[in-house]
Amino acid sequence: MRKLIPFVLFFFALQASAQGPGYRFQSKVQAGLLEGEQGSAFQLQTIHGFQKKTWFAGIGTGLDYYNIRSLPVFLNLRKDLFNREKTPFVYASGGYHFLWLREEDKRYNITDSKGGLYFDAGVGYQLPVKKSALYFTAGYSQKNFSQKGHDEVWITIWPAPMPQTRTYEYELRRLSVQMGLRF
Amino acid sequence: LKQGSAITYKTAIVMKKIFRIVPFFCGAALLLFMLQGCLKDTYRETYKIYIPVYKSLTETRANMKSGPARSLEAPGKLNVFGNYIFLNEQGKGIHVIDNSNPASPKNISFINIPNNYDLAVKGSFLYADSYSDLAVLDISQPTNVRAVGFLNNVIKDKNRYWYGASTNPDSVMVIVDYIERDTTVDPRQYRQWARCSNCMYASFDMRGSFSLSSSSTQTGVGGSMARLTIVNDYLYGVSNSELYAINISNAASPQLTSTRNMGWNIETIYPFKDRLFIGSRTGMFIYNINNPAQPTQMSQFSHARSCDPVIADDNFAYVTLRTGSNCDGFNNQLDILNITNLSAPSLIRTVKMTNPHGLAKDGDKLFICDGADGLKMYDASKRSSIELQTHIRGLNTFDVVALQNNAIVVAEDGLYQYTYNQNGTALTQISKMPIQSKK
Repeated sequence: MRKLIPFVLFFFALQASAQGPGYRFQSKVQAGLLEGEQGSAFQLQTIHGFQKKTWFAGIGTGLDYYNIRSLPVFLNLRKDLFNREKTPFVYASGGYHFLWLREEDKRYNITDSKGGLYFDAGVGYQLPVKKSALYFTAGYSQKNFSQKGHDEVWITIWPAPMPQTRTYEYELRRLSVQMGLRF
Repeated sequence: LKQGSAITYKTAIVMKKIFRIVPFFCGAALLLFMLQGCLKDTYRETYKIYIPVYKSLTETRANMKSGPARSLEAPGKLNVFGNYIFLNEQGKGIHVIDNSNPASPKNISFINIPNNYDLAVKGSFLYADSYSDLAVLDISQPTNVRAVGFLNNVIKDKNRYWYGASTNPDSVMVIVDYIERDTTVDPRQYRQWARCSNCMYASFDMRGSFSLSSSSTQTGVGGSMARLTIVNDYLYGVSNSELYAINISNAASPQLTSTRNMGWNIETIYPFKDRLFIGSRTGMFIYNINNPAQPTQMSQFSHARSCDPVIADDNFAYVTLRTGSNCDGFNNQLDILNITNLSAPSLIRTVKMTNPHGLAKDGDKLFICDGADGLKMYDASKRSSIELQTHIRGLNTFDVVALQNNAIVVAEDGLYQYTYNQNGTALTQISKMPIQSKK
């Protein structure tokens, strides 16, 4: 979690330095589903950044329960197709996700687990709701992670080779749908 | 819609907007579920495949000879004979180290002995285990060591090739090495292989003039972790469950004279005069060798379950107990036993340790290899109590031989030598032969 601190500091520095004309600070909370070969999983994200005309840039973090629990930290870019509240848009998020292992995520022979690349890109549609806005997105998301484990060599010949290190690398590809609120 | 209710009216407007995009959302969700099958995850599992290299036992034995010196990689037990140190490289063979100058030991040759972990030396002959066999090697020329005799299948629990009635070494195949190959697979495919009975082991081939300063009858000094030791004309060895007595009066033709079952978890053997002190995970055994061909048990001292090398002198036995992955137990300590009455050894003192392994005694100096806590030198002149004099930290120690003010220590990162004197408390490092990690 200490790795998150620089991101938070970066965010506050950005907020302090980018209060110029035309910039509007926005916060978003979004939740949805991830669907892929590993089944369905819940995701929750919060994004904070600045909007100027049809462009939005911010940083976000969240919870991703797909296959293995993790905390993505990412940069988010969004381009609205129209300069109005009711608009379709395209978005892309990319960053790193930190593993936050649950008991069921742990395996007896795994000695080291590392997060990896996280990204999500797709399309969405936003419509105004009172002073805020509601939006829906659909896109493609991927998270990579790796693990190392020590395996005994279970063979009947002797002398058996020494216990060895195995490396497991995963690239999980999902479809993502989310509903969000912009404040 | 009822006019006059502004909240209801605004809510209805919002709901109307939301309902307008519900089809978009439903369509996206439907598309998502339809496309789910198109997305395939990628798994990569990287590991090594070990391909065994077989040779016939005849070829294997023909190659049991000295070759160029090799660097230390995983040193094990040691035996000191005159100016030479014979240091086991676990599973591979024995380093021959010229220790004429302890400040600058020279690694002069390596004796290739597959599956070797133990050794003992007498005169011009070195006795070493190789699988379940005992090999006799002529060490009269340290750079030209060669095997001169074998005793087949004596250490039964290390037997891996003496099956059936075959005694012909030409027909016995031995794994002498492994070829390592880095492999990356998709685990899903790998699991399919695992379900294939013919594929499971697809990667495994399932065939399956020595200027000795000592006299020719003198024996080498082994560490307390040894499983082989020599007393006069007999070589004694312990396996996990048995004690062997082997007549070596004809050095090149050893003869097994007795085998005694001792129960399980036997670990070490240490000779003192006409007695053998045997360490097991549940206690210490004392054997009488008045009849050297037939050792007989005199007594047993039981302790909590743990690994326990033992050494002894006229009146006391020193037993280290340790925990660890193979040792079970909860004790890390040194037990000092009174063995004045050999039939009834009694505990007189326990000293707390960190993770003690091998130990040695030279005069009044007692040395303890305390695992990752380094090397400890105690003053044992008061016999029933000991006093810590020097503690060398920063090395992970395994076994020690202490002779004539020279302590030779096998540690995780090399072979260390220290000098001391019986009247002082200083323990000074004089050399280190480092380990070269295998890439």
